[in-house]
Order: sequence, then C-alpha cells, then structure tokens
Amino acid sequence: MGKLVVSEFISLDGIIEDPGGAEGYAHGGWSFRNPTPDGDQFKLEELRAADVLLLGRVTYQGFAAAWPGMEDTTGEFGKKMNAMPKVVVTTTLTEAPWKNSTILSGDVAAGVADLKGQYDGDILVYASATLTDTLREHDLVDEYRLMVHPIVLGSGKRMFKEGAAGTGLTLTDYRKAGPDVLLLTYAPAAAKPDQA
Amino acid sequence: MSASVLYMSMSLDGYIAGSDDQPDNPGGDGFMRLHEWLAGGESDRPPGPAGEMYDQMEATGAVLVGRRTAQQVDHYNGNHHGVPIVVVSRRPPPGTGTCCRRASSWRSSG
Repeated sequence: MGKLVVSEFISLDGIIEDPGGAEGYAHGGWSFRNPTPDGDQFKLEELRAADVLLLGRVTYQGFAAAWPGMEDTTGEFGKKMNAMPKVVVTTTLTEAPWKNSTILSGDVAAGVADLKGQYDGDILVYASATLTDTLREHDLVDEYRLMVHPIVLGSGKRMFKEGAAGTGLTLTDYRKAGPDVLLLTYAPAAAKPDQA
Repeated sequence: MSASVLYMSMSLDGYIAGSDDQPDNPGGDGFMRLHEWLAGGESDRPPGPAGEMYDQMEATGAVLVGRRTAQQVDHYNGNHHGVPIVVVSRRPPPGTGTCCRRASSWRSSG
C-alpha cells in the first residue's frame, strides 16, 4: 500500500506556485533564493523512496519541459525523475509525452486509491496546487512535507485555498533544510471534538 | 536603539484570528485553537518552549498594538507586564477612562 506524500516548497505566506521557475509565474524560481543543502539531500532520499510521481497538469507540463534536459546537471535525481512512472491528473491533455507518463482523468479519488493499491513505495506529489486541494478534500494525503522559505510572495496559488475545510495536523518531524529554511512534516490528525 | 519584534500565533494556512472578531468575541470564532500551545494562558508562565516564549514577551520594554486588537482585549486592563502600551489609532480612546493618554503626551512625559 503506497503512502501518498505531498512535498512542497512553500513561502511564509503559503504560496506554492512555481518554486522552480518553469511555469512562467511572475515570482517563479523563488525556491532557489535561499540555499538548502540539507534539504537537497532530504529531497534525494525522498525521491529514492518514491515509486511514482502524481502531478497536476500545470506542474506536469513545466516538469516535462524542464527535466529531460537536466540529467547532466542533476545526476541521480534527474535520471530518476525522467525514468520513474508519472501520473498526470488532467481533463484537457490527451497526450503525456514525458517518459513513462500516464493520464488520469475522470474520478481522481478512485484513481488515486487504485494507485495506492498498485504501489508499495511512496506516491509523491510536488507542487500541483489544484490537485493537492482535491486530494486533501478526499482525505487521500498521508503526509505533508513543507519546506518553508523565508519569503513573502504576496500573490500566487496557495497551499490551502481560501475557504478550505478546517483540518487538524500533527507535527511528526521538523528540521532545518538550510540556514534560513525549515522543513516541517505533518500527518493528518484525528479530528478532535472541538474541530468537528 | 531597541528592536521591534512581531509576535504572531499563526495557523498553517496563515490565519491569526477566527472569523467575526469583535470586542464581545475577541480573536474571533475558534480563536483559542491558535493559543492552546501557550498552555498557561496569558497570565501564568507555561513550561517548556512555550515558557521561553513567555519570558521573551515579558522582557519587552513596551507593547505596540493596533486599535482593533486593543479593544478586543479591553486594552489589557491598562497593564501589560508593567510596560507602556501604545495603541495606534486615529480615534480618541473610548469613554473618559484613565487607561489612555495620547502618544504625544506619553512621549513628552516619558
């Protein structure tokens, strides 16, 4: 049974849009402003533990354009990104040309539940703000890993959209990813009576 | 030259108050969820890291607060660990209570 892990670069004001700069967002590439040497090692180990990437359409298209040309500069990380299975959630794409990709359209909750049965390793979600909202609404997220950057972006897609149903989380790990960057790991908590 | 330090107790999605906050509902609906970590409340020193936070707040030399917050906590009953409380507002203080002076007079007398 695969564990679904949502792993995000997130600004202090909760923005997760385009941390790598591949999507053309006005502030794109903001995750590179602060060095994260320990976070980079964490990300590599995280990817090693994953069997499949689950991505929203926008993130998928940015990755599909960027990663095939990055193996020389990113080594093991880039090779695995390109080789491993990818599932893109979309209602508009009819082709997913990045190596080893499949399209999930229709019932996302049922499709992701099938993925959990199909894989034993982690099902890893990067960025994918819209998909992450859907996964949370269906209680499909098993773990959040948030790399909090000391940046206030002011606009962009948020990790938790306005009006999202309240939810409780349990902090299961915390560490520094770099001198100014925190890495927080949360698991969904059983709802307390006063949070119902 | 002193430093100004911003203290906020914030939810993971960036909220610092509940909805419908007003003087008879200070901090808004569900506000205390944001402050359960400060187990002893605002008056008793809690144990552990929350206690260290409490000590830091107790070590400040003045409190600067906005008008809305000040009203909702009844101006801390005029006493926040014995230091001056400065409320930023364009309005005169409510009533004629003795809690408040204008900043200009506080500055000139201080």
